[in-house]
Amino acid sequence: MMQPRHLIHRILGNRTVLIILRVALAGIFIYASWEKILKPDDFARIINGYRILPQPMVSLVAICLPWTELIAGVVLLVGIWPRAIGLLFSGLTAVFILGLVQALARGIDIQCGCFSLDPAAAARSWASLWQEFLLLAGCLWLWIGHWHKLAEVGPGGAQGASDG
Amino acid sequence: MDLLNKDQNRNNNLTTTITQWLRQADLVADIGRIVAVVLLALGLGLIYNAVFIWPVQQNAPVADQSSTINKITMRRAYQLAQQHEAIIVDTQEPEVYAQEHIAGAMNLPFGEFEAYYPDFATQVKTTETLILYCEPGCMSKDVVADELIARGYQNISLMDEGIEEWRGAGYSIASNGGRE
Repeated sequence: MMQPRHLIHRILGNRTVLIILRVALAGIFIYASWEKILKPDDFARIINGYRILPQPMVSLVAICLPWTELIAGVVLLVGIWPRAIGLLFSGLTAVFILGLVQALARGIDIQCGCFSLDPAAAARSWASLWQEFLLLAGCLWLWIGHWHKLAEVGPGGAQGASDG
Repeated sequence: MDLLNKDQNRNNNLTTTITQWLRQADLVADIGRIVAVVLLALGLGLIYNAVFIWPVQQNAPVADQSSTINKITMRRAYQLAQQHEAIIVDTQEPEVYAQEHIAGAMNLPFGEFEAYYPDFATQVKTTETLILYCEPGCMSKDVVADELIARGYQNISLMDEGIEEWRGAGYSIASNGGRE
């Protein structure tokens, strides 16, 4: 009889699930980066809409964030540093969620700027936050699934795919 | 005494668990990798923008001239407003607008644009000259300008100065519906 802890390790560390997550998340973040890289001004305007960063930081984030998504996505796609990229994507998604939540709590009608910079794109609402939480769950799974302990659960585990 | 030992054991267990967890997650190594990715991204982002984005923006006088959004000085904005040739629009939140705003300015808040726009549209024709302001360095006026252009407004100017500069120049300020 397998202990519940080992069962959780086996599920989270399942090699097939981790490969699917790796490819899916890499694709999502690469796709998300594309329009922001091409239109940094529009992206800066959306970041400014969140009203949490001072002006000089807005430009820096607008330049750096999409490229971080692109590079991390490519690195993840080729299978390098999946645990580190899982942590990075979890952190980024958590920050996106916090930004959205604080904006919604303050009654600011904003676009997410996550996948589209189109002004006609629907404004975000509390009801649409499930998408970000689903993404966060996937990123956390990718990260935790590559922890050393989980990678040692045996056949089907993420052995060999973990970092370091 | 037993209780003290139990507390110590519990603390030791917690410390051990956290240590094990940190070892499994290997946070230090991963944070190093993340920093490497972010630095590479920053470098590539700066190079890309320096080569492909900023030169295009600086060498686009034709596009700037054909744009319906212009910059306007505070003095010129004051003159146009005095001559009733332009409408000044405050794009800040209603609470900020209620505290004080440029005398005669309308409120079209960035955060509640959709709610305020229908009323605004009934009062202001698309052919009117509009002067948008918020605070120095803010971008809500830029966003509202884009929204207005998308809705057919043709002559929009942005004023970089805010209420403090307007007051400093000795021009009229209104607050809570009153005028100073």
